[in-house]
Amino acid sequence: MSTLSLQFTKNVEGKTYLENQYASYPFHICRTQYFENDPPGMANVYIQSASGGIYENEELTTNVTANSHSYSHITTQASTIVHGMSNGGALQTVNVNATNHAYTEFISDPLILFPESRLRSNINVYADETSTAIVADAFLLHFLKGDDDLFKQLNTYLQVYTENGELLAKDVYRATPENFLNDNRHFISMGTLTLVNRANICDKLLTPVRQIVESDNKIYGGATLLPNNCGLMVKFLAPDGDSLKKALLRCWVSMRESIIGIRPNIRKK
Amino acid sequence: MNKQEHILALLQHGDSFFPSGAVSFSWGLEMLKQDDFVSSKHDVESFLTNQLAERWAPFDRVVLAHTFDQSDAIDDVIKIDRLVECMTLPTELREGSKRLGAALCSTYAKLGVAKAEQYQQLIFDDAALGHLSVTQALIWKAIGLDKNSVLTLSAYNFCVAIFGAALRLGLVGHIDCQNSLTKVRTLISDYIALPVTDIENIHAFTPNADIASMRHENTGTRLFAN
Repeated sequence: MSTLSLQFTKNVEGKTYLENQYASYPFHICRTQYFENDPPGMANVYIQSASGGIYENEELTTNVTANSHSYSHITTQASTIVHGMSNGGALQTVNVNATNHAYTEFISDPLILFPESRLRSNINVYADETSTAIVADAFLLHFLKGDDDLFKQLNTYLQVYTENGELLAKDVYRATPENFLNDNRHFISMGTLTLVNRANICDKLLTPVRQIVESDNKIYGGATLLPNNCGLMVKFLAPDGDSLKKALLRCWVSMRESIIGIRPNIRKK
Repeated sequence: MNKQEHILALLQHGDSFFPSGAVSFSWGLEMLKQDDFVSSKHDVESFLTNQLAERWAPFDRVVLAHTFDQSDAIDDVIKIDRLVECMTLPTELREGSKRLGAALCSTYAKLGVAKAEQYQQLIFDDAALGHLSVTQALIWKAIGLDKNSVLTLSAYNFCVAIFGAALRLGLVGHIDCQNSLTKVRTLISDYIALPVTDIENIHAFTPNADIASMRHENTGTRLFAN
């Protein structure tokens, strides 16, 4: 099993830093970066893969711990290719744990599902009532060998818990070419952006993010408040990778700006 | 209940004449029509078969079966109810499911079904949520239906609700609905015969309908509650 563990802590000067880190192959992280127009002292970490994607029988786990009053933004350097698999599948797990007024964003680029790929993706977010987490989850089909040779299956589990492990929201789906693609194959990708926050700010955030996703003519999207007042979710279908990434980006910028009050700079990749 | 009475009970509780409240819900169809994703009889059938395959069979059917089996252990039923709450993400689908579940409890409580009255009280007390598939299984078991009949009735009522909405939206005619209902019989029978998974493994994948329901929250003019 491959593991990446990142633990963010705020120091006495108000700067968030990586207090603990561990990365085993194929994970690699860049040094922590700090950008203008971010919340004060926000630590930015780019995750890279030394192997060029996800391969058969791999088990990849990323653990993010956002400690008291820390600000962190984690992203991938590029999209992640899920390669073709002859028999088995692969497992990718992301665990995000935010406590005591922590603010963390896990904005990964989309998965690109190559023909014959089979992946189970688990995303578990644990957050207390004072903390905020934004998590992106997106996939895009790749027609590498023509129209009829497609991915096998993508099983996704997105689960939101309290700090004590009580389930608040759960999105489980099993996507296959048969149940995902329409006859005209107009939409070949799907994006989800989930904001976890229990401090009653989501009502206010819903309107701007809804406006973005519903006014984009290239995609088909909507936004809604999650059960148990634990946050909001934006979901959309897109016809290509460019529309998918742009919509994800615009929704993330809107959420950040609504919560923090400053429009963030677009991350260079 | 003898076989003849069983058939009569199914006819009574599956009839659109029965006051279930389902007539106010389109489960995303209204918005899909407005967004030009559904415009013909063929589209309505595709929508329905997709809902049956990707929502009813892997999610509602399993909830119904587990609730039926655990109907005497009310704490376990409430756990299933809470899981349905956590897993129904679009607000209008979640609220619609609870409104219909509460309406079902209310109607059957008035008909003197003790289980309906008991669960209605739990909903009033905020001890239970009352999602539709949970209340259907509880109540229909209490009136003497077997598990297969409960699953059949749920699937049939869902189809009638969709076709009823499609009819009011001007997408299909009465004869189209009857033809389509005949067509989906085999499909429903196949799904009912599937093994029932663990309750923790329920899942659904209907992104178009989910997104449509999210967008429906934001529409000014509407015929349906979702």
